[in-house]
Amino acid sequence: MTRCILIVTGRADIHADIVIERIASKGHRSFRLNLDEFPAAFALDLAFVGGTWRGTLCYSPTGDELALAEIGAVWTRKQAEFAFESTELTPQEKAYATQETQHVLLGILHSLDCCWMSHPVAVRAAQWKGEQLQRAARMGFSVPDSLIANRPEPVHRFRAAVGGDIIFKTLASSFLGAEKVAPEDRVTTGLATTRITEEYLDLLDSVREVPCFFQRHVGKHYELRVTVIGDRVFAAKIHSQDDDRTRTDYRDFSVGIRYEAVTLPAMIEQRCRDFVHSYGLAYGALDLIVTPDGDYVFLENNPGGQFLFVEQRVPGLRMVDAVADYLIEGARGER
Amino acid sequence: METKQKLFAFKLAAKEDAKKESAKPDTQWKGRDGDSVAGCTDFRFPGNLRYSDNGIYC
Repeated sequence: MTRCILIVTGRADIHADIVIERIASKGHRSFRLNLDEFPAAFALDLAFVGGTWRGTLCYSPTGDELALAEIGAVWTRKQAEFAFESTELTPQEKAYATQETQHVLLGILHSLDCCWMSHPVAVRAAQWKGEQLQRAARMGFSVPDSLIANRPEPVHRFRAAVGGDIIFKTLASSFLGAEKVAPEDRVTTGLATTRITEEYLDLLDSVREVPCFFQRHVGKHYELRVTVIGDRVFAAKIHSQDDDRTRTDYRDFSVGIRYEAVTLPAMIEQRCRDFVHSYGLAYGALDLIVTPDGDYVFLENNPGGQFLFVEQRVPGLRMVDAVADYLIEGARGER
Repeated sequence: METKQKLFAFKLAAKEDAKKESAKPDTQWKGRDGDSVAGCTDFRFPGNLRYSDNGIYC
Protein backbone atom coordinates (compact mmCIF):
# COMPACT_ATOMS: atom_id res chain seq x y z
CA MET A 1 0.00 0.00 0.00
CA THR A 2 1.29 3.47 -0.89
CA ARG A 3 0.98 6.00 1.85
CA CYS A 4 0.84 9.75 1.31
CA ILE A 5 3.81 11.84 0.17
CA LEU A 6 4.26 15.05 2.15
CA ILE A 7 5.89 17.86 0.20
CA VAL A 8 7.27 20.69 2.31
CA THR A 9 7.78 23.80 0.25
CA GLY A 10 6.40 27.27 -0.49
CA ARG A 11 3.61 28.43 -2.75
CA ALA A 12 5.87 29.56 -5.55
CA ASP A 13 7.69 26.37 -6.37
CA ILE A 14 7.33 25.12 -9.91
CA HIS A 15 9.35 22.01 -9.09
CA ALA A 16 6.76 20.99 -6.53
CA ASP A 17 3.89 21.88 -8.91
CA ILE A 18 5.21 19.55 -11.56
CA VAL A 19 6.26 16.69 -9.29
CA ILE A 20 2.87 16.76 -7.55
CA GLU A 21 1.16 16.45 -10.93
CA ARG A 22 3.45 13.59 -11.86
CA ILE A 23 2.79 11.77 -8.60
CA ALA A 24 -0.96 12.16 -9.18
CA SER A 25 -0.64 10.93 -12.76
CA LYS A 26 0.98 7.79 -11.40
CA GLY A 27 -2.03 7.26 -9.15
CA HIS A 28 -0.57 8.34 -5.83
CA ARG A 29 -1.46 10.97 -3.28
CA SER A 30 0.60 13.87 -2.06
CA PHE A 31 -0.08 16.62 0.43
CA ARG A 32 1.54 20.00 -0.03
CA LEU A 33 2.61 21.92 3.03
CA ASN A 34 3.42 25.44 1.93
CA LEU A 35 5.48 26.98 4.69
CA ASP A 36 4.48 30.48 3.59
CA GLU A 37 0.89 29.53 4.41
CA PHE A 38 1.81 27.75 7.63
CA PRO A 39 0.39 27.81 10.21
CA ALA A 40 -2.14 30.43 9.05
CA ALA A 41 -3.93 28.22 6.54
CA PHE A 42 -3.55 24.92 8.39
CA ALA A 43 -5.51 23.52 11.30
CA LEU A 44 -3.39 21.28 13.53
CA ASP A 45 -4.83 18.60 15.75
CA LEU A 46 -1.88 16.59 16.98
CA ALA A 47 -1.68 14.55 20.15
CA PHE A 48 1.03 12.47 21.75
CA VAL A 49 -0.81 9.35 22.88
CA GLY A 50 0.40 5.83 23.46
CA GLY A 51 4.00 6.70 22.80
CA THR A 52 3.60 8.38 19.45
CA TRP A 53 2.31 11.48 17.72
CA ARG A 54 -1.07 11.07 16.06
CA GLY A 55 -3.46 13.49 14.49
CA THR A 56 -4.05 15.57 11.43
CA LEU A 57 -3.08 18.64 9.47
CA CYS A 58 -5.96 20.19 7.59
CA TYR A 59 -5.47 22.71 4.79
CA SER A 60 -8.32 25.07 5.57
CA PRO A 61 -8.95 26.54 2.09
CA THR A 62 -9.74 23.11 0.61
CA GLY A 63 -10.40 20.94 3.64
CA ASP A 64 -7.71 18.54 2.44
CA GLU A 65 -6.55 16.56 5.44
CA LEU A 66 -3.43 14.59 6.20
CA ALA A 67 -3.10 12.16 9.09
CA LEU A 68 0.44 11.78 10.40
CA ALA A 69 0.03 8.01 10.25
CA GLU A 70 -0.58 8.27 6.49
CA ILE A 71 2.80 9.82 5.71
CA GLY A 72 5.10 7.42 3.91
CA ALA A 73 7.57 9.84 2.39
CA VAL A 74 8.60 13.46 2.83
CA TRP A 75 10.17 15.71 0.21
CA THR A 76 11.82 18.64 1.97
CA ARG A 77 11.80 20.83 -1.06
CA LYS A 78 11.96 24.48 0.02
CA GLN A 79 12.20 26.79 2.95
CA ALA A 80 9.87 29.77 3.25
CA GLU A 81 8.89 32.23 5.91
CA PHE A 82 5.92 31.27 8.04
CA ALA A 83 2.61 33.11 7.71
CA PHE A 84 0.35 34.03 10.58
CA GLU A 85 -3.31 34.93 10.46
CA SER A 86 -2.79 38.26 12.11
CA THR A 87 -0.83 40.74 10.08
CA GLU A 88 -0.55 43.00 13.09
CA LEU A 89 1.69 40.95 15.36
CA THR A 90 4.20 43.05 17.22
CA PRO A 91 7.82 42.32 16.27
CA GLN A 92 8.31 40.36 19.46
CA GLU A 93 5.08 38.44 18.97
CA LYS A 94 6.19 37.57 15.45
CA ALA A 95 9.62 36.49 16.66
CA TYR A 96 8.04 34.24 19.25
CA ALA A 97 5.45 32.91 16.79
CA THR A 98 8.17 32.05 14.27
CA GLN A 99 10.37 30.29 16.81
CA GLU A 100 7.49 28.36 18.29
CA THR A 101 6.10 27.32 14.89
CA GLN A 102 9.48 26.14 13.71
CA HIS A 103 10.02 24.15 16.87
CA VAL A 104 6.61 22.47 16.62
CA LEU A 105 6.94 21.70 12.91
CA LEU A 106 10.45 20.27 13.13
CA GLY A 107 9.53 18.34 16.26
CA ILE A 108 6.69 16.63 14.42
CA LEU A 109 8.60 16.09 11.18
CA HIS A 110 11.58 14.61 12.97
CA SER A 111 9.23 12.18 14.71
CA LEU A 112 8.18 10.64 11.40
CA ASP A 113 9.58 7.22 10.61
CA CYS A 114 9.42 7.28 6.82
CA CYS A 115 11.34 7.82 3.59
CA TRP A 116 12.96 11.23 3.18
CA MET A 117 14.23 13.23 0.27
CA SER A 118 16.20 14.35 2.16
CA HIS A 119 16.15 14.32 5.95
CA PRO A 120 16.59 17.84 7.39
CA VAL A 121 19.52 16.69 9.50
CA ALA A 122 21.32 15.42 6.40
CA VAL A 123 20.53 18.57 4.44
CA ARG A 124 21.80 20.71 7.27
CA ALA A 125 25.04 18.75 7.51
CA ALA A 126 25.58 18.82 3.75
CA GLN A 127 25.17 22.52 3.09
CA TRP A 128 28.53 23.86 4.26
CA LYS A 129 30.63 24.43 1.19
CA GLY A 130 33.89 24.70 3.07
CA GLU A 131 33.40 21.18 4.38
CA GLN A 132 32.27 19.98 0.97
CA LEU A 133 35.62 20.88 -0.55
CA GLN A 134 37.53 18.82 1.97
CA ARG A 135 35.20 15.85 1.59
CA ALA A 136 35.35 16.06 -2.21
CA ALA A 137 39.14 16.11 -2.15
CA ARG A 138 39.20 13.14 0.22
CA MET A 139 36.94 11.25 -2.18
CA GLY A 140 39.26 11.82 -5.11
CA PHE A 141 37.90 14.90 -6.85
CA SER A 142 40.20 17.68 -7.96
CA VAL A 143 39.30 20.76 -5.94
CA PRO A 144 40.50 24.29 -6.73
CA ASP A 145 42.80 25.95 -4.24
CA SER A 146 40.55 28.19 -2.16
CA LEU A 147 40.87 31.03 0.30
CA ILE A 148 38.71 32.54 3.00
CA ALA A 149 39.91 35.92 4.18
CA ASN A 150 38.64 39.14 5.67
CA ARG A 151 41.74 41.20 4.97
CA PRO A 152 43.09 42.18 1.54
CA GLU A 153 46.65 41.02 2.07
CA PRO A 154 45.94 37.27 2.04
CA VAL A 155 43.86 37.72 -1.10
CA HIS A 156 46.72 39.44 -2.92
CA ARG A 157 49.11 36.72 -1.74
CA PHE A 158 46.68 34.02 -2.85
CA ARG A 159 46.30 35.60 -6.26
CA ALA A 160 50.05 35.79 -6.68
CA ALA A 161 50.47 32.20 -5.50
CA VAL A 162 47.97 30.74 -7.95
CA GLY A 163 49.61 32.75 -10.71
CA GLY A 164 46.46 33.92 -12.41
CA ASP A 165 42.95 35.14 -11.90
CA ILE A 166 40.83 34.10 -8.98
CA ILE A 167 37.08 34.00 -8.61
CA PHE A 168 34.86 35.32 -5.84
CA LYS A 169 31.64 33.60 -4.95
CA THR A 170 29.13 33.91 -2.18
CA LEU A 171 28.57 30.78 -0.13
CA ALA A 172 25.25 31.38 1.59
CA SER A 173 23.20 33.31 -0.95
CA SER A 174 23.72 34.91 -4.31
CA PHE A 175 21.06 37.45 -3.34
CA LEU A 176 23.45 39.30 -1.01
CA GLY A 177 20.71 39.42 1.59
CA ALA A 178 18.24 41.18 -0.72
CA GLU A 179 15.48 38.76 0.19
CA LYS A 180 15.82 39.73 3.84
CA VAL A 181 15.23 43.46 3.49
CA ALA A 182 12.39 45.64 2.27
CA PRO A 183 12.45 46.48 -1.45
CA GLU A 184 13.25 50.10 -0.71
CA ASP A 185 16.34 49.01 1.24
CA ARG A 186 17.78 46.84 -1.53
CA VAL A 187 20.92 48.18 -3.11
CA THR A 188 21.52 45.16 -5.31
CA THR A 189 19.67 41.97 -6.11
CA GLY A 190 22.62 39.64 -6.28
CA LEU A 191 26.03 38.72 -7.51
CA ALA A 192 27.07 35.87 -9.75
CA THR A 193 30.37 34.09 -9.30
CA THR A 194 32.79 36.71 -10.56
CA ARG A 195 36.28 36.44 -11.99
CA ILE A 196 38.57 38.88 -10.24
CA THR A 197 40.49 40.29 -13.15
CA GLU A 198 42.81 43.31 -13.14
CA GLU A 199 39.89 45.73 -13.32
CA TYR A 200 38.63 44.56 -9.92
CA LEU A 201 41.89 44.56 -8.02
CA ASP A 202 41.27 47.99 -6.48
CA LEU A 203 38.13 46.59 -4.85
CA LEU A 204 40.12 44.03 -2.90
CA ASP A 205 40.93 46.68 -0.32
CA SER A 206 37.32 46.39 0.77
CA VAL A 207 37.82 42.76 1.78
CA ARG A 208 37.26 43.52 5.45
CA GLU A 209 34.94 42.47 8.23
CA VAL A 210 33.02 39.75 6.39
CA PRO A 211 34.92 36.61 5.39
CA CYS A 212 35.12 36.35 1.61
CA PHE A 213 35.55 33.16 -0.39
CA PHE A 214 37.95 33.02 -3.32
CA GLN A 215 39.10 30.20 -5.54
CA ARG A 216 41.73 29.72 -8.14
CA HIS A 217 40.12 30.33 -11.52
CA VAL A 218 39.92 26.99 -13.31
CA GLY A 219 39.97 26.89 -17.09
CA LYS A 220 36.87 25.16 -18.43
CA HIS A 221 36.28 22.94 -21.41
CA TYR A 222 32.67 22.63 -20.27
CA GLU A 223 30.67 22.29 -17.06
CA LEU A 224 28.61 19.48 -15.65
CA ARG A 225 25.45 19.58 -13.59
CA VAL A 226 25.23 16.14 -12.02
CA THR A 227 21.96 15.41 -10.28
CA VAL A 228 21.81 12.40 -8.00
CA ILE A 229 18.30 11.13 -7.24
CA GLY A 230 18.39 8.08 -5.02
CA ASP A 231 20.88 5.82 -6.78
CA ARG A 232 20.31 7.35 -10.18
CA VAL A 233 22.71 9.88 -11.69
CA PHE A 234 21.71 12.41 -14.35
CA ALA A 235 24.55 14.31 -15.94
CA ALA A 236 24.16 17.35 -18.17
CA LYS A 237 27.04 18.81 -20.13
CA ILE A 238 26.76 22.60 -20.16
CA HIS A 239 28.62 24.42 -22.90
CA SER A 240 29.15 27.46 -20.73
CA GLN A 241 32.19 28.61 -22.67
CA ASP A 242 30.14 29.27 -25.80
CA ASP A 243 29.08 32.72 -24.56
CA ASP A 244 30.93 35.39 -22.59
CA ARG A 245 27.98 35.82 -20.25
CA THR A 246 28.14 32.23 -18.99
CA ARG A 247 31.87 31.66 -18.92
CA THR A 248 32.31 32.25 -15.19
CA ASP A 249 28.78 31.49 -13.94
CA TYR A 250 26.50 29.55 -16.25
CA ARG A 251 23.34 30.70 -14.46
CA ASP A 252 22.53 33.45 -16.93
CA PHE A 253 19.38 31.87 -18.26
CA SER A 254 18.79 34.52 -20.88
CA VAL A 255 21.61 32.92 -22.83
CA GLY A 256 20.80 29.99 -25.04
CA ILE A 257 23.92 27.92 -24.46
CA ARG A 258 23.83 24.25 -25.32
CA TYR A 259 23.02 21.59 -22.78
CA GLU A 260 23.23 17.89 -23.54
CA ALA A 261 22.99 14.61 -21.73
CA VAL A 262 26.33 12.98 -21.11
CA THR A 263 27.47 9.65 -19.78
CA LEU A 264 30.05 10.14 -17.09
CA PRO A 265 33.05 7.88 -16.67
CA ALA A 266 31.88 5.16 -14.29
CA MET A 267 34.35 6.22 -11.61
CA ILE A 268 33.17 9.85 -11.68
CA GLU A 269 29.53 8.82 -11.64
CA GLN A 270 30.09 6.60 -8.63
CA ARG A 271 32.07 9.32 -6.90
CA CYS A 272 29.17 11.76 -7.32
CA ARG A 273 26.73 9.17 -5.99
CA ASP A 274 29.01 8.36 -3.07
CA PHE A 275 29.49 12.03 -2.27
CA VAL A 276 25.76 12.66 -1.99
CA HIS A 277 25.11 9.45 -0.08
CA SER A 278 27.97 10.15 2.32
CA TYR A 279 25.74 12.74 3.99
CA GLY A 280 22.72 10.47 4.04
CA LEU A 281 21.13 12.56 1.30
CA ALA A 282 18.72 11.07 -1.22
CA TYR A 283 19.28 14.01 -3.55
CA GLY A 284 22.11 16.27 -4.57
CA ALA A 285 22.96 18.55 -7.49
CA LEU A 286 26.68 18.86 -8.05
CA ASP A 287 28.48 21.43 -10.13
CA LEU A 288 31.68 20.21 -11.75
CA ILE A 289 34.12 21.62 -14.27
CA VAL A 290 35.77 19.53 -16.92
CA THR A 291 39.07 21.19 -17.79
CA PRO A 292 40.65 21.25 -21.24
CA ASP A 293 42.92 18.46 -19.92
CA GLY A 294 39.91 16.32 -19.05
CA ASP A 295 40.19 16.74 -15.29
CA TYR A 296 36.94 16.64 -13.28
CA VAL A 297 36.95 19.51 -10.78
CA PHE A 298 34.46 19.69 -7.94
CA LEU A 299 32.85 23.07 -7.27
CA GLU A 300 29.93 22.37 -4.96
CA ASN A 301 26.95 20.20 -4.10
CA ASN A 302 23.50 21.67 -3.59
CA PRO A 303 21.48 19.33 -1.37
CA GLY A 304 18.19 20.79 -2.63
CA GLY A 305 19.37 22.06 -5.99
CA GLN A 306 17.16 22.89 -8.95
CA PHE A 307 16.74 20.33 -11.70
CA LEU A 308 13.96 21.62 -13.95
CA PHE A 309 16.18 24.06 -15.80
CA VAL A 310 18.24 21.08 -16.89
CA GLU A 311 15.32 18.84 -17.85
CA GLN A 312 13.72 21.66 -19.81
CA ARG A 313 16.82 21.84 -21.97
CA VAL A 314 17.51 18.11 -21.98
CA PRO A 315 14.11 16.38 -21.87
CA GLY A 316 15.79 12.99 -22.00
CA LEU A 317 17.04 13.52 -18.45
CA ARG A 318 13.77 12.53 -16.83
CA MET A 319 14.40 13.84 -13.34
CA VAL A 320 10.79 14.79 -12.58
CA ASP A 321 9.91 11.13 -13.06
CA ALA A 322 12.89 10.05 -10.99
CA VAL A 323 11.92 12.27 -8.06
CA ALA A 324 8.29 11.17 -8.25
CA ASP A 325 9.28 7.50 -8.49
CA TYR A 326 11.67 7.77 -5.56
CA LEU A 327 9.00 9.32 -3.37
CA ILE A 328 6.35 6.79 -4.46
CA GLU A 329 8.70 3.88 -3.78
CA GLY A 330 9.47 5.41 -0.42
CA ALA A 331 5.80 5.80 0.39
CA ARG A 332 5.32 2.14 -0.48
CA GLY A 333 7.96 1.22 2.07
CA GLU A 334 10.40 0.11 -0.61
CA ARG A 335 13.14 2.52 0.49
CA MET B 1 31.93 53.50 -9.32
CA GLU B 2 31.47 55.13 -5.91
CA THR B 3 28.97 53.43 -3.66
CA LYS B 4 27.92 53.81 -0.06
CA GLN B 5 28.35 50.11 0.50
CA LYS B 6 31.34 49.01 2.49
CA LEU B 7 31.53 45.31 1.80
CA PHE B 8 33.55 43.80 -1.01
CA ALA B 9 30.67 41.76 -2.39
CA PHE B 10 28.48 44.84 -2.65
CA LYS B 11 31.14 46.94 -4.31
CA LEU B 12 31.75 44.13 -6.76
CA ALA B 13 28.02 43.79 -7.42
CA ALA B 14 27.77 47.54 -7.99
CA LYS B 15 30.55 47.39 -10.54
CA GLU B 16 28.99 44.40 -12.26
CA ASP B 17 25.57 46.07 -12.28
CA ALA B 18 27.10 49.20 -13.81
CA LYS B 19 28.70 47.12 -16.53
CA LYS B 20 25.40 45.42 -17.28
CA GLU B 21 23.52 48.71 -17.38
CA SER B 22 25.88 49.98 -19.99
CA ALA B 23 25.67 46.76 -21.97
CA LYS B 24 23.72 46.51 -25.18
CA PRO B 25 20.06 45.67 -24.59
CA ASP B 26 20.39 42.24 -26.12
CA THR B 27 23.06 41.29 -23.62
CA GLN B 28 21.03 42.25 -20.57
CA TRP B 29 19.46 39.58 -18.45
CA LYS B 30 15.92 38.52 -19.12
CA GLY B 31 13.99 35.35 -18.51
CA ARG B 32 13.55 32.98 -21.41
CA ASP B 33 10.27 31.32 -22.29
CA GLY B 34 10.20 27.78 -21.05
CA ASP B 35 12.89 28.20 -18.45
CA SER B 36 12.35 27.38 -14.83
CA VAL B 37 13.62 30.29 -12.82
CA ALA B 38 12.73 29.09 -9.36
CA GLY B 39 14.97 29.53 -6.37
CA CYS B 40 18.41 30.92 -6.86
CA THR B 41 18.39 30.17 -10.57
CA ASP B 42 16.61 33.50 -10.82
CA PHE B 43 18.85 35.39 -8.48
CA ARG B 44 19.07 38.33 -10.82
CA PHE B 45 15.31 38.57 -11.23
CA PRO B 46 14.12 41.12 -8.69
CA GLY B 47 10.58 39.79 -8.49
CA ASN B 48 11.69 36.46 -7.18
CA LEU B 49 13.67 37.19 -4.06
CA ARG B 50 11.67 34.79 -2.01
CA TYR B 51 14.11 32.53 -0.33
CA SER B 52 17.01 32.65 2.00
CA ASP B 53 18.63 29.51 0.77
CA ASN B 54 21.89 29.31 2.73
CA GLY B 55 23.52 27.68 -0.24
CA ILE B 56 21.22 24.69 -0.26
CA TYR B 57 19.26 25.19 -3.43
CA CYS B 58 21.52 26.64 -6.09
